[in-house]
Amino acid sequence: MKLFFDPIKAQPDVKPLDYCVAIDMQLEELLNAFLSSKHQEEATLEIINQFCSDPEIISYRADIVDDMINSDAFFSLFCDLRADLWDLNLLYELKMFKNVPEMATMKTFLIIEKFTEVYKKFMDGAEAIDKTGLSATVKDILSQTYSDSMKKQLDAILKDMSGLRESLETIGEIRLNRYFSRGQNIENSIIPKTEEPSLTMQLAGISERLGLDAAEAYAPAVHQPREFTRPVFKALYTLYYDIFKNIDAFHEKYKDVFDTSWLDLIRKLDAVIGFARIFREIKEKGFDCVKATASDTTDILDFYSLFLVKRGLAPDQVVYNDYIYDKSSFFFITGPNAGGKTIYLSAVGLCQLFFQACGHVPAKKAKIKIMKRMFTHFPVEEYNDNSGRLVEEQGRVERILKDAPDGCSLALFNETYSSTKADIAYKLSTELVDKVLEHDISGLFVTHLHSLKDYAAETYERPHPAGVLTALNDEKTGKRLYKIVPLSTQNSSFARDILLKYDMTVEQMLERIQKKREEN
Amino acid sequence: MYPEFDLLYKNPSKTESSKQLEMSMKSLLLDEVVNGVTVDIILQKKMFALLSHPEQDLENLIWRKEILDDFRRNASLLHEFELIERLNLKLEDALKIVKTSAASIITTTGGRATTSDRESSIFTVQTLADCILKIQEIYEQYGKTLAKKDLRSELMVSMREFVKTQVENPAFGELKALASELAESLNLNTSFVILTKLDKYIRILDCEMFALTSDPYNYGQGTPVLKDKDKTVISIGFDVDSDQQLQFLAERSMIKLVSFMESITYQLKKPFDKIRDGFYFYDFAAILERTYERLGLPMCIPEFCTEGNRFECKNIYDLWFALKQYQKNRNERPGDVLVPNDAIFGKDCAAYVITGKNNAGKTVFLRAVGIIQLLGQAALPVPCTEAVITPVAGVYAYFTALDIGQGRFEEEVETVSGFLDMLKPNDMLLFNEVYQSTSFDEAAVALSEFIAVAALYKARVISVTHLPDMKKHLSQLKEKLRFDGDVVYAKAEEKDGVSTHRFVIEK
Repeated sequence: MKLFFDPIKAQPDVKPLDYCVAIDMQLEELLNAFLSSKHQEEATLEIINQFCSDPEIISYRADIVDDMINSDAFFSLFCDLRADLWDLNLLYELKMFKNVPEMATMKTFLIIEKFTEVYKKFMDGAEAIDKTGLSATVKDILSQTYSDSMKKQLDAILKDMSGLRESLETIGEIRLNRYFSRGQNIENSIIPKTEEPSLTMQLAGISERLGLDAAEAYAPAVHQPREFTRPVFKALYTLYYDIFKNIDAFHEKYKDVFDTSWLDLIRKLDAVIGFARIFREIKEKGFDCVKATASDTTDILDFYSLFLVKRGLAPDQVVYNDYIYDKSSFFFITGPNAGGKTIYLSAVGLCQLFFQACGHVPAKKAKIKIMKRMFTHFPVEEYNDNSGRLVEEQGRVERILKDAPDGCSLALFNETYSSTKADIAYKLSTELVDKVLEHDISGLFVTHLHSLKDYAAETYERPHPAGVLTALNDEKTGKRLYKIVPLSTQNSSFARDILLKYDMTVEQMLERIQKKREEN
Repeated sequence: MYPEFDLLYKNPSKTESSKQLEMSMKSLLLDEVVNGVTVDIILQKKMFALLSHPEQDLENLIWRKEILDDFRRNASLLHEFELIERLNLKLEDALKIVKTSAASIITTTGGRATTSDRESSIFTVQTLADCILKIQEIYEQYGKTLAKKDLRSELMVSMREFVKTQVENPAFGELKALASELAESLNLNTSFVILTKLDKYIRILDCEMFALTSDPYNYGQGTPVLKDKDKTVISIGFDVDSDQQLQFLAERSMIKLVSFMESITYQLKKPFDKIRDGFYFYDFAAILERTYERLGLPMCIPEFCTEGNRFECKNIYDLWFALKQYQKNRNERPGDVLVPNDAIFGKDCAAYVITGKNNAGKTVFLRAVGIIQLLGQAALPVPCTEAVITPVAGVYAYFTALDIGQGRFEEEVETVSGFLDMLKPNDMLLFNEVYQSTSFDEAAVALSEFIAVAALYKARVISVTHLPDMKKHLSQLKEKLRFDGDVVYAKAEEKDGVSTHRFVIEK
C-alpha cells in the first residue's frame, strides 16, 4: 500500500537556517514550553530550521495547520493516526524479529494486522468527519483515504486474515517445565496449558475465602513483555504447528505488501501536530493568531511575543505592536532600557520563522515577505580565549553579510557592537548598516547609540533607507509602555530619552527627594 | 479488610510533643514516679511516653478501662497473652530471615542455576510456609485462650469472635494443609512448573508458579501428575539462552509467589500487631496496683466526665512522695502516715489558689493533683478513694523552685507565655510559686492577670503562691473580664502553729 498524502511536503534543497538563529530565538525553550512531546519538539524544530521559502509549500502546510487549529475532529483524527502509527513502528522495530528469524512469518502477519487496523480506523474517521469549513487541501487528502480501490485492497487482506487471530489466541497460556534431579537440571520442556489451578491461584482462592487481599497474586511478575529465545520459540512452533503453518502461508502472500514509508509519516505528523498544538493553545488562552499571506512586503499588525504567553501573561496584559515595511524594511530600534525592544525584535523573528514553517503567526493580521535566509545576532558573553566580544561580533557580522542574498534576507541585530567604545561602535554600526541597506537586507537593529538616528535620517534619500522605531515611555511618570512606534527622524528628541534613562526627569527627581526625606 | 486489635486505642490519633509538656513532666517528676513503680527500663520508657501525652478521647479511656477489667476478672489472661506474644516474636524473627533471603532471589543473575540460588529460593518458600503455619497457630492459641474467659470489653469480645470465625473457616484448614506441604516437601530436587501468559504478539506477558514439587514424575498416588502423557511435551534443550530464560521465568514466578506468601503472612498477623504495643500498659497497671497495695495507698479507677471541667478526688496522695517515703523507711507504709486531702475543683471553679506556710504540703498537694490527672487520664488506677475527672488536652506544671538558677522573671514570663501559646479550654495548669523572682506587687498583678485570662479561656490554673492581694486582684479582674465561675481559695491548715498538712477552703 502506497502513501497517499504528505502532511508536510518536502521542499527543494535550500540552505537551512543559520545555526545561531535557533539559539538566539531560544527556539528549543519556546517549543519545550508549549509542547509536552519531545518528538513534536524535535519535528517542529526541524521544520523551522529548514526555513522553507517555497510559497506553495508554505500555503499547503498553512491549510493543513489551519484546519487542525479550527477543527477538533480533524485534529483528533491526525493525533490518533500518529499514536497508532507509533505503536505500529514499535511493533515493527521489535528486536525479537531479528533475534528469532523463525518469527519472520509472524512479523508479516502482525504488521499487516496492525496496519489494517490503523488504516481502517483512519479511513472510517476520514469518511465520517464533517468537512464543512475544511480547506480544499485537506478535503483532497481525506478523500484519497477512503477511495474505492483502497477499500477493496483492505477487504481482501481482512478476508485472508480472518481466523488467524482467533487461532493465535488459543495459545494464551503455556506451561514450561524445568525439572531437577539430584541437583541437576534434567528436563526443560513445554506443554500446552492444563486445567488445574496453579499453586499461586490455589493460594489466591484460599486467601480470598479467608477475606484476605489477594491482589499480589495477580500483580504481574514480568513488567515488560519479553520475547522467547529462539529454541523456546521453535519448541512453541512445533507444539502449535497447525496454527503457525497458516501464518506461514499468509506471510508468503503478503510479505511485500507493507510499505515502510508509512512509518516516515510519524515525523511529519509530529511536526504538523506540534504547530497546531502551539496555535490551538494560544487561541484557547484568548490570543489572536492568523494564517499569514505571502507578500512582497511585510505588514504584521498587533503581533506579540510567544515568550510573553509562555510567561503566563493574559491577553489584556500584553502590549501589541506592529511591524510594517513602508519605504524602509530595515529599522533601528532605540529607547530606554527594559522598554520592550528585545521582545519586539525576537517577536518579529518568531513571526518570520513560524510563517515560513507553517504559515501561521501570533498576530491579528499579517502579510509577510518570504525570505531565503534569516540571521540573528544577540550579544554573547565574552569568550575566555582572549578573542573578546568585539572580535566575535565582527566575525559574525561578516559572515551574515557574506551569506545574505540580496533583497530576500532578514537580519536581526540586538545591541551589536555595544561592547566597545561609543565612537568605534558608531563607526562599525554605520558600516554594517551601509552594507545592509546596499544589499536590501530587511531587519532590525536594537541599539543604544542615539546618534544612529541621525545616521538613519541621512539614509532617507537612498533606494533602501533605514527607518527608526522607538520604545515609548509615559511622558509624565516615565513608566515603560512597551510600545514600539516609528519615530519621525525630523522631530525626534534625543535629550528626554537620555534623561529618562538616568532618572533625571523632574518627576523622577522629585520622587527621589521624597524618598530621601522619608529615610531620614 | 482484617480488623486491627489495639489494646490502647479505639480511635488512634497522633500525639505531638512540646517543650512545655516536657518541662511539665519534669516538674511533676513523672519519670521518678514511673521508675519508682517499675524497674523494667523498656516499660519505664513506654509508660513515660504514654503518660506525658494525656489521652483526651473518652472512648479510648473507656476502652482501656474495660480491657483492664477483663484482665482483672481473668487472672491468668495477661500471662496467656504473654505466652502467645512469644510465638509472635518467633514469627517476627522468621520474617526477618525471609527479607534477607528474598533479596538474594531478586539479585540472582543469569547463567545456569547454581545450587545455592535454588536453595535460597526454596528456603524462602519453606520459611514463608512455616510463617503461615506459625501465624495460624497464633490464631488457634488466641481462640483457645479467649474461649474460656469471662470477657466483657468490646476489644476482647470482638477479638474472640474474629478468631473463632477465622479458625472455623474451612479455608483456614486448607491453607494450613497447603502451607504444611510446602514447608515439608521442598528440597534440593525441587522442580518448577511455570505457567506463562502470552500477549497478542506471542511474547511473555506474565508468569506464575504452577507447581513446586520434588517429584514431577509421580503417578497414581493421589497427587496431580505433572508429566502429562496424554499431552504433547516438546523439549526445549539446554542451550545457554533458553536456560537463562527459563531460569529468569522461574525466578520471577518465585518472586511473585514469595511476595504473595509474604503478603498473606502480614495480612494474617496484622490484627495482632498492636497487641504487643499495648501490652506493656496492662503490665504496668498490674504493677501499679501492687505498688499501691505495698504502699498502703487507696486506689480507684476514675470516672470520666465531659460536662464541665471537673477534678473531684477525695483522699488524694502524692505517689512520688509516697515512693520516696517508702524508700527511706520500708517498715512503714506511707499510706498509714501520710495525710490525704480532698481536691475538689468543680465545674464552677475557675481557678484555685493555695496559700499557707512553707512545708505545709502545698507542693505535695499540687503534684498529687497532677499525677492523678495524668494517671487517671491514661485509665490507670489513681491513689485516692474517689475520683471524677475531665480529660484535658494538656497538663502543664511549672514548679519554679526546680528551675536552675531560681528563674528570672524574664524566663518565667517567657515560659508562661509558651503555655499561653499551647493552651486549650479545660487544660490544667499547676503553678508552684510562679513570678516570685520579682517584686511581689508587680508579680501579683501579673499572675492574677494570667490566671484571669486563662479562666476566660476556660483553662484552670491551680496555683500555690505567697504573693499578696491575689484575692483583690482576681476579684477586680473577674469584674472586668467577666469570666465564668469563681476563684476558690484554700489555705494550709494549722493547729497550734503546726501544719496539719490539710487544706481548708476559705470562705
